[in-house]
Amino acid sequence: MNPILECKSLTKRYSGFTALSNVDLTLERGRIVGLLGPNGSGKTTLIKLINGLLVPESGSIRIAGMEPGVETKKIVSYLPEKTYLADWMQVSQVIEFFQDFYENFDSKKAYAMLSDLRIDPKKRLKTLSKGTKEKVQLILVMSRKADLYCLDEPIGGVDPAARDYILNTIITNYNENATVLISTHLISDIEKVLDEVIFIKDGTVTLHSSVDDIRLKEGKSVDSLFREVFKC
Amino acid sequence: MQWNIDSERPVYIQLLELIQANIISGNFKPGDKLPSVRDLAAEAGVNPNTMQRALTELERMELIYTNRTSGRYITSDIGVIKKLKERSAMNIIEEFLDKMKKIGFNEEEILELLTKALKEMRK
Amino acid sequence: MLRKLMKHELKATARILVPLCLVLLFISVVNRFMYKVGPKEGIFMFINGFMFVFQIFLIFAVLASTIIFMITRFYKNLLSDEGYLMFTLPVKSHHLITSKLTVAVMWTITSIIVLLSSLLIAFATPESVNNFINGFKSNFAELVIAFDGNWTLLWIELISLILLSIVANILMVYVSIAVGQLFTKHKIIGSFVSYVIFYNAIQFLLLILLAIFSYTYSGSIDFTHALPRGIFPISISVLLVESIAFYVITNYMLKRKLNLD
Repeated sequence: MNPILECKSLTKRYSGFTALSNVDLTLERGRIVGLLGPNGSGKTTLIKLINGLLVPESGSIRIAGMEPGVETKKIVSYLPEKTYLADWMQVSQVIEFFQDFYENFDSKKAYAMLSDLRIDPKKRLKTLSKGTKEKVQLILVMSRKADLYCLDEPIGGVDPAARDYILNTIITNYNENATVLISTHLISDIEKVLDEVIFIKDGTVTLHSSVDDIRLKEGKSVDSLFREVFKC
Repeated sequence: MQWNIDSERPVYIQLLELIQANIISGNFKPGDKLPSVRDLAAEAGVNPNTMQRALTELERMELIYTNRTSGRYITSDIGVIKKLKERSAMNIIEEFLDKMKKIGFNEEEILELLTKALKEMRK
Repeated sequence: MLRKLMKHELKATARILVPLCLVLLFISVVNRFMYKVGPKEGIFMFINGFMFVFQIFLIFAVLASTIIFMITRFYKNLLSDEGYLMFTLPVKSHHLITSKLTVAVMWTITSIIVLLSSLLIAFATPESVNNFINGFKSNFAELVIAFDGNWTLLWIELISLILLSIVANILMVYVSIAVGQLFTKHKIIGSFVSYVIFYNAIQFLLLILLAIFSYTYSGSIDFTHALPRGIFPISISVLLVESIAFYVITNYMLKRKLNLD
């Protein structure tokens, strides 16, 4: 039992506004977990804390038992919602970059996925559409052999065929040592792929349960439950 | 094969049913080798742990067995499959009888309608 | 890791600055030919004049580009969306700063060399070079006297002064940007305001220290009398302390107060 993520009384404030309040959360390895909540609920804050982009006010956060830092960045693979690659680079140059900085990066796998999605590695990122850029970023993230993958809205901006490909990649990438944390709004598309879901609202975790348990107990899909719980 | 998973019922139960249906219908023949859990899960578009749970249950039901070195196989035991087929049929029949009784038919009427329907089907 | 960051930094900056420098040098060579050998009547008067102005323009362009690029590079690569990539790399934040600082210093020195070369290539004649060197020597002679003939010390202090002032200036830009990014909705204004504050604070500090030094040595706070034996070490010390302070503050901001959108 060495969980990949452990948050204890995790709290983060932004000039008066409390984004996360005393969050206790443990994620075991070998799971695909959905992080679900409305905008402003604290999802992105939690993911940024995991990646060391933010520092908590109080409480602790540990990845594989370590505080966020250089060592955890080696084993965490992050896909932000934004396009974070330099426009002037060619796709092949970006792959080289990742190869350079990440020991566990598999460039062969990356090139294979690029060819599956018919993306020309010689193209400059500037010339690609937004959807294609997002696909490239996802390929880069999934080509790393990480212990924790944090995907922030991975299927939001892509067409349904690519969506299937992405979900398929997440499934086939599965290994019992690694965990995938997916933050998303598109719950119904992704429900079957998830082991567990976490509901987060106003900076606190209101639910952490397996998908099948929810379906068993509530007699409805996670998507339906979500709409109920977070009704406007 | 089509993996139709609806959104209301637990996924692993539906996987169980789907695989059983395929064993009964002969899509999965006795002695067939199953793909790896990951591949099966990818095919079905579901979580590998959930697929594993279904497979473990099928193993408990002796419909599947695991060979330590070469993987998972559908049982070659025709008897077990036959029993499954029968149990499945009985479930359908019970459901049918239940529904018919609810509409208001008695046993004789049901038998009559059944024979008539079967004759029509043969044409 | 630091080397990899520097390599990447070079790649990112070279793609703009190298072509620019090359064009400048090329124009300088062309101008030299036209100046020495080419026709000078009629339409060529215009062409010569144009090329001359163009070269001067390019010199300014190279200088301006280097400065602007150094500023925008730091901001764009670390504090805009690209920051999500850079700050999740398994590298220490101070390596990110150092890699950018070294490459920026390198480009500053390079652009100055290219600039001087450009002038030399296009316009130097044996007499003009001689005049220049003589003028340089006589000014230098005064300095050497002030240093009691200690050449080595003079060179060391002069080079340290130049180098440190490049480093300190770049770090002042970095720390201003790093502090400015704290103000979520006003990052750019925040950076400008921080820069103004830092700049004036250092000027003020320098002034006070020089006045004190001058007063101690010559009884008057008019420190024009105290050069350069006083100005050099005081400036160097201030620049050194300033650079270290700015570096530490920048690192603290990026490590603990990162505020990416």
